[in-house]
Amino acid sequence: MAHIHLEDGSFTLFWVIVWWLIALLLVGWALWSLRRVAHKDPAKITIAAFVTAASFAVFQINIPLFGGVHLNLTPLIGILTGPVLGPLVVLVVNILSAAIGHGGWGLIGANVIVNLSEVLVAWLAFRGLARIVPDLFVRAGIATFAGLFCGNCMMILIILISGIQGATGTPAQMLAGLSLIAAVNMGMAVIEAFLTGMVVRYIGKVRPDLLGVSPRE
Amino acid sequence: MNKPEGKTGLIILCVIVVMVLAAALIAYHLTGDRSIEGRFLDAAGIHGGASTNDTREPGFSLEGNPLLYIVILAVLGIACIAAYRQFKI
Repeated sequence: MAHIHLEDGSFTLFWVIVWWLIALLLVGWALWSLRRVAHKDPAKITIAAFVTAASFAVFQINIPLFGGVHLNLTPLIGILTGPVLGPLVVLVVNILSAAIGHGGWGLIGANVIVNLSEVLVAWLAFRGLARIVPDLFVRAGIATFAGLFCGNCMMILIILISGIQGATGTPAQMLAGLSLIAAVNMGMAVIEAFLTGMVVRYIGKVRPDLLGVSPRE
Repeated sequence: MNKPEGKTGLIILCVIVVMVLAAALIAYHLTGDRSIEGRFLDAAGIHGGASTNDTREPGFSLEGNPLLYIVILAVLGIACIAAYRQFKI
């Protein structure tokens, strides 16, 4: 959901390369770890393919709420695929989105980092709250809010660090403006949390093994 | 499921929803009816942006090229079928 909606050329070449390198390092680590996971649980690859398609499909739809926002299902990606396949899914979705003209190529690195923070935090929150919040719908909802909040914070951080070429505002003005964007984005998180909660609850009922939970949860 | 624990989680979720919706509505009121791109340009202080030239269509719309969207979605669908046949779930 958090996504840097700026065109190519907004960041200097230096920062484009920095964010790309960090993103590639994280994805490289995921690829290296994938050998172990793929052997242990090959079904996760199928789930990753399904969430990639679902995330790409919904990510391109502009929803006429709060002036225009969109979902991207990153918390669901995190909950269902985990920290190893999640980065790969996020990279593929961002590349395909840029390919159809949604987001700049130079910003893929930064956007992968933003989405990755959503995936990882949602996954951590969903796992970490298992004892405190046993209900799958509620736990997935809280994990979604946590993930998307971190994604928005990451988005603000990356933009403030990089700066925007041609911007006339001071960093403080930019922080204020970006905070408002984050607040509007979080409004959409309510719908994303509801959707994620419904999907996770349904999977928990029919295939709890896919979530790594016992059937009675 | 432990009832009190279940209720605690639900209460936390409801509190988050109320807080987030309130913040989003206030932010929307402050920024006005702008597209995502327009909000970014306004936040960055880039003039001549979407605040003066917001050409988005009303209602649901697709970002990017619709033909490429359908083509890529079809390819992803085929990849899903291939992955399902190969690895199952």
